[in-house]
Amino acid sequence: MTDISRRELLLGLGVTALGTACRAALPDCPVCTRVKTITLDAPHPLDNVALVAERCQLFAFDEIHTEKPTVYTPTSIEDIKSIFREAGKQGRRVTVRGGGQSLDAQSLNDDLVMMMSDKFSDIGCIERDDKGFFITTGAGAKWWNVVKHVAPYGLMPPSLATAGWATVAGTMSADCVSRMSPIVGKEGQQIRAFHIVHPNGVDGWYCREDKDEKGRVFKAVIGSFGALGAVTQVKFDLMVARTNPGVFGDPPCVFTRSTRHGNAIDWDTTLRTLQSKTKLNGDRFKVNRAAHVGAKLSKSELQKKKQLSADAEHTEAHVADDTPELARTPEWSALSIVSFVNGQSMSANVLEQRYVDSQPLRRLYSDMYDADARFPSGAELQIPLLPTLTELGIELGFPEGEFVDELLGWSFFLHNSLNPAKAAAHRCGERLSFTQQTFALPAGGDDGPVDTRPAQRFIELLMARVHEADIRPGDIDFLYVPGDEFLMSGSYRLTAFVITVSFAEMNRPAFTPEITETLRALSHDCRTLGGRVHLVKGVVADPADLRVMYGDAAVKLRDMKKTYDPMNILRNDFFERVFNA
Amino acid sequence: MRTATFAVLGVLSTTALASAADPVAPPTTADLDPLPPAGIKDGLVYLREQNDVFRLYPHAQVDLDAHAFYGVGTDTLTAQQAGTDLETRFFLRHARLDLAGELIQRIFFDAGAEFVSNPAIDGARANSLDTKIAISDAWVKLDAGRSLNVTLGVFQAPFSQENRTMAGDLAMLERNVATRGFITPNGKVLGLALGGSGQHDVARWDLGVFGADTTNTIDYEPHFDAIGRATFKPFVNTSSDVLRDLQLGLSARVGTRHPRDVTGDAPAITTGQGFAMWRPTHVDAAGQVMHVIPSSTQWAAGAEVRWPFCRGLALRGEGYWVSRNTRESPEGQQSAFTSRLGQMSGVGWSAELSAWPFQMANLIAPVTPPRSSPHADHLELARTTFSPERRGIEVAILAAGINATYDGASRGGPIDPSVGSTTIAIYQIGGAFNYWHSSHLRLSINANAYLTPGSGTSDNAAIVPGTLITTADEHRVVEIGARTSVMF
Ligand SMILES: Cc1cc2nc3c(=O)[nH]c(=O)nc-3n(C[C@H](O)[C@H](O)[C@H](O)COP(=O)(O)OP(=O)(O)OC[C@H]3O[C@@H](n4cnc5c(N)ncnc54)[C@H](O)[C@@H]3O)c2cc1C
Repeated sequence: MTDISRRELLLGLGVTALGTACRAALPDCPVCTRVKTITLDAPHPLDNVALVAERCQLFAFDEIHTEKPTVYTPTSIEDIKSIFREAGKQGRRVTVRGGGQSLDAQSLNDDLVMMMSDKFSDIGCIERDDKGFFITTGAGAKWWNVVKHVAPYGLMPPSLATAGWATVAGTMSADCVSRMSPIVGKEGQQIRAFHIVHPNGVDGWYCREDKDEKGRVFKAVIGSFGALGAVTQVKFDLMVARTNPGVFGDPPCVFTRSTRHGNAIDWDTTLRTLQSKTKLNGDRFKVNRAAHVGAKLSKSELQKKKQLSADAEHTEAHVADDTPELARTPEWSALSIVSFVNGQSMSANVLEQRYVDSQPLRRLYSDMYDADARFPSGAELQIPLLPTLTELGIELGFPEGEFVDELLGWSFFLHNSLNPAKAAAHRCGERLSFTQQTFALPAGGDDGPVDTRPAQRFIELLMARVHEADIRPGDIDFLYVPGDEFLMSGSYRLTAFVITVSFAEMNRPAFTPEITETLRALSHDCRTLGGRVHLVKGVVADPADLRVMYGDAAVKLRDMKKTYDPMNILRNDFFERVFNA
Repeated sequence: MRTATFAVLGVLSTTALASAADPVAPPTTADLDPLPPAGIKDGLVYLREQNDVFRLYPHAQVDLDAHAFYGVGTDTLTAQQAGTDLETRFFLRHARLDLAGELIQRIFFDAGAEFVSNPAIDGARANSLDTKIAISDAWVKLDAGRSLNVTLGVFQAPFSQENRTMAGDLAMLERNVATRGFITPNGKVLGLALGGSGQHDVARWDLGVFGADTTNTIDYEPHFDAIGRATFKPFVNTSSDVLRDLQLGLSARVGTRHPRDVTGDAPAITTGQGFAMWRPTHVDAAGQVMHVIPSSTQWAAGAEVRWPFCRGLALRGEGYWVSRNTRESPEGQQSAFTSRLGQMSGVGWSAELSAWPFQMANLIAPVTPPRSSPHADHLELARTTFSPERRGIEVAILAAGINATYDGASRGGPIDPSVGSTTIAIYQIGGAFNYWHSSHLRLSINANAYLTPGSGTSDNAAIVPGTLITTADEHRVVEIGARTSVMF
């Protein structure tokens, strides 16, 4: 069977299965952002705010969490201030919302929601200083648009979530983690500065270099899910993604080297390899990026560079002859393991990926990184319907090899597959619910020896639990992510193997008890293994476990809120649920 | 002014911040030792390579039985006359060794030998006097995912609930008379099956083609059979405690037997302790020993239900129509000569109610029982929940029956005038009491009455020991059996 016919077969089966399940079409289906329905009550506006208030039904991306708040769309800082002022006086609750791509209720609230995606979405000019390239955008600028803007200049945001419709401030407020995070850190690391309006009426810029109180606020706003104010602008680093950066031309492509590990994976070795490659490439990245922007290297950096070139000769010796030129250069931009349940065990692909100059594509067989492909979205639809078929498809479509894919297809692969799948489900009157939960398992200190035992035990427990509950996760991703300093970040001073588990379901008012209980149990496992559940995706966990993971940080955040949000206006369903805030 | 406010608030909050502890990751309290290379989990002994490239599950079972027979003729018939020893006795019923395992967590296998297989009980022969060494299982299963797997080798035919339930997991000591003697007399087949299941077994299916089976547990005779079984749990995703585990199923099989290949006797119908109530041999009017042999089309189809309707209490039942074409040949000429062509057909059925009283009274948690032998299902070694041992008392009552006819010349050839009856009517009424000390030790007592109304007359071709005594007008035999099972 050729690849094409295999793909067509799988897609056909998925569509047939969905077709059989089709009922009357849903009235509206813009994917999870804002669904206006005629049955909603009248808005409950704030007195003394001269802005249009709408009543909207808002969904989280999982299409399970939903609220019907009164929505404001401020167009200026003054608008934001007036909303905060009046909300405080009138004892109302406000949630700031960006692209609404949260997988849980992080941007939902049943009282007032302030939409930051429509306005505040300017994308500024690319700038460059002695620290490198950077850009300033409105808080509501969508990442898809940002990438389209900067990629033709051979530049990319260092860390980028796969959500194309997420906003710059939305992902910053979640301190998102990505395939690049192992090398460049989580999203917070690339933030140079942001402008924020606090509910206490104060607004201002906070910078990476700020010390003391401002420095603390900088580190608390990143990853605090809009608890301290509404961000209006963000200034962040860009990284060089091809030759001639800063010069308009073709956007880069992405080179992938996929190494397959069949069943019965030696997780100790695999995780150690991921860790050592990540560390090596993280160092290379730092050194080479500095060189790219013409920054002076310190003595120790020069020393390190020498060492790294020696390592590079050794580790890259096996690269195939037809490997694109840039892929031979030492550093990878993204390092991850993508793993799937196959039958009763797991298979995994170690993915080493980097930006390369534009060139003829050699696409990944499953078209997973093709922005326009139908197959990946067909597969997403099948996960809840015919999981084994998807597993078989992945087994065949995610093989070992070297591939070159287009940039947008790779950058937003999840967006590209999930959104058409959701739209297809909506057309049939169905709802495709998708969730992910991310667990950070301690991996030993940054400079100490790597410890794979907690991650290994977690994998064993994960497999035992999904087997016991008879549920099939979509994919399971692994990253090795260095610790960071952002208060509410799951990686706060915790260098960790970050494991993300996905589930998809059709037409559910809530995820099944099997899924939620499994996630809850895994959260507990994560706690006893010394880790944290990331707050950036869905979170199903016992409050007691979350208290142990985030209690001290939450106390600090609450103390900060006493200053910047004294009336406790800024709240969202998510924090209220997970922290009983 | 605003800056001033900010500064004041800043100082305030700095003071507040000083009071909160610096966030740290939770302490590690879990055990981080690697999973052991050998141990016992969920009732199974395992040996493993550290990454589970392979796992071995050595499995052994020893069953020490006591058999007693009650009824006319049971104390006068010799073992030769009865085809089984009717004396009250102790003996080794099972001595079984298996090596099961997993390769790369996707390929499962089980190869085992039964050292004292009884051709009358484990197979379907009339004579239970000689035990044999037989293959108990020899299969390999490739797991391609929840809805797809392939099994190859010698294994329990995917037909009938009772046949697919492992004998060690049944409440009774042996499969019931209808299943063993009529529905799937030779429970094991050699071939290839595809199978799969939906989430929580909402649907489960197995479909296979088979090239051989045996009635004496060792000699596999070539033939062709297509066999399939599908089960459904229509309410498994509902919240109804009563209906959730209700399982309905259908099984069907069709095949042919060629006289060149199949010369072994048709299955005898035996009691659980090995007395043959219908035998595939008889002496014809000319004094020749005639053998009834399966020939040409064989088919069977039916339905099953299993309903664990409340904590520790389960009802199961099944019924099948069976149609088996036969031929009769004189002894010694089974492959060369056919005297007449006939057919055996009818219904085999059974119903059983089983209960775990301690579980029903909430004295013991009703847990999924640990395995009593290897399954083709990956054993997870990580401990997620505390899984108690299989423990407690299990009681069961059973009724089963065969209502069939055998007409040796219905499809051709001269009728044998010595044949008295074409009807076969056999009923089994039984009860079981089991004490599970763990999944490794089981003590059981069974009592079964086999009824053959009208036997010894032209109303019923089935027999009981009393029928073999020419003067007796007896239509029943009672068997009491006890077993001590030790297994790991
Ligand atoms: C297809 C898809 C792929 C994804 N891939 C990844 C991934 O690779 N890595 C990852 O970590 N996550 C990923 N996510 C999750 C997603 O990136 C985050 O949930 C992100 O926060 C969503 O951003 P948003 O702009 O849609 O924010 P929203 O969902 O609107 O809000 C997120 C949070 O940010 C706050 N917020 C939003 N705007 C502002 C503002 N201007 N000022 C202050 N607070 C604000 C909100 O109050 C809320 O708490 C993915 C989600 C989807 C749907």
